[in-house]
Amino acid sequence: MGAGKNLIKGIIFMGAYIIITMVIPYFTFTWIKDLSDLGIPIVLEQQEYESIIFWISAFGLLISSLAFFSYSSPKQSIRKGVFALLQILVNSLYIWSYKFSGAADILFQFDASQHMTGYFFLNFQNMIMVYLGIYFLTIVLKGYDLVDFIINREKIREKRYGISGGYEKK
Amino acid sequence: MIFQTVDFLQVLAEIIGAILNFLKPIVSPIGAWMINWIEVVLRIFPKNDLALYIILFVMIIIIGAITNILWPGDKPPKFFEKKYKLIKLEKEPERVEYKTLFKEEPTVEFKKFGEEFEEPGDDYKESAEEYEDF
Repeated sequence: MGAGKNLIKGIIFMGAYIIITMVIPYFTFTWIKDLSDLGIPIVLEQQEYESIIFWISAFGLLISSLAFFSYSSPKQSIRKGVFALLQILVNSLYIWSYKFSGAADILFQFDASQHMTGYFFLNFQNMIMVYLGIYFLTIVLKGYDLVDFIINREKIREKRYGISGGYEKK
Repeated sequence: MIFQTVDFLQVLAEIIGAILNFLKPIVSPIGAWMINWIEVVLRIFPKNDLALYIILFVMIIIIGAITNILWPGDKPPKFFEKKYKLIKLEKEPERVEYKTLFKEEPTVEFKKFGEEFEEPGDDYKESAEEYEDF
């Protein structure tokens, strides 16, 4: 695959990650911020909202750029392995930043009338912990891939460039 | 609530809940360990400075693009190309097409012999040296 195709592939995946990690969460939290259900206005705390949006944007940008590097690299290359591993690590930080930013404990306040006021909060911390545990397995897999690419470097190159024991494959 | 009125969403939520409950005793301790190192690492990341993340984003993309233009991966890098040429010069024997010798289709036995012959090992080198001495 040439440089042009590599770059196009990288740009496509970068775009996908921008949508998944930044655009969708942004619209979701903006929607939650002013959620109105059954005529009862439910409002997400403004300070929390700003913090969530900041961390989503910050880590979303990092993840998207790393995805560009990783997906535009040639198959089974060491740089692909390194950046795929980095991407997964930053992904873990991104997931945990939901808790860190307050998105795992979201406080909702509603004020329907003089006789009907209150609040409730959603706690996603346990769910995120389970999710991070699953992510750990992904980190192990990516680490294994990287080690495999380093150990079998010569074989991968021979296969990629069509060389076998000094012969050119027909 | 709207989520409780739609049956499909309720079933989906129960399935996800069951999977999470099943995985919880195995995966949660690993998740707790993950949280420990993540919290340490997150202290390094600056807060309320989005410009820094934008700069990092642009830098990584520029470096990625340059790397891909220089080494797209479809041809060997220069240092590897030299090595590849040396291996080729040292090992490749003269190839003689069967058809130019016999003008007939090769037999199965000959094909097998040919396949074995195409993998030169140390024997080939030794015999080549002997031939040169002779």
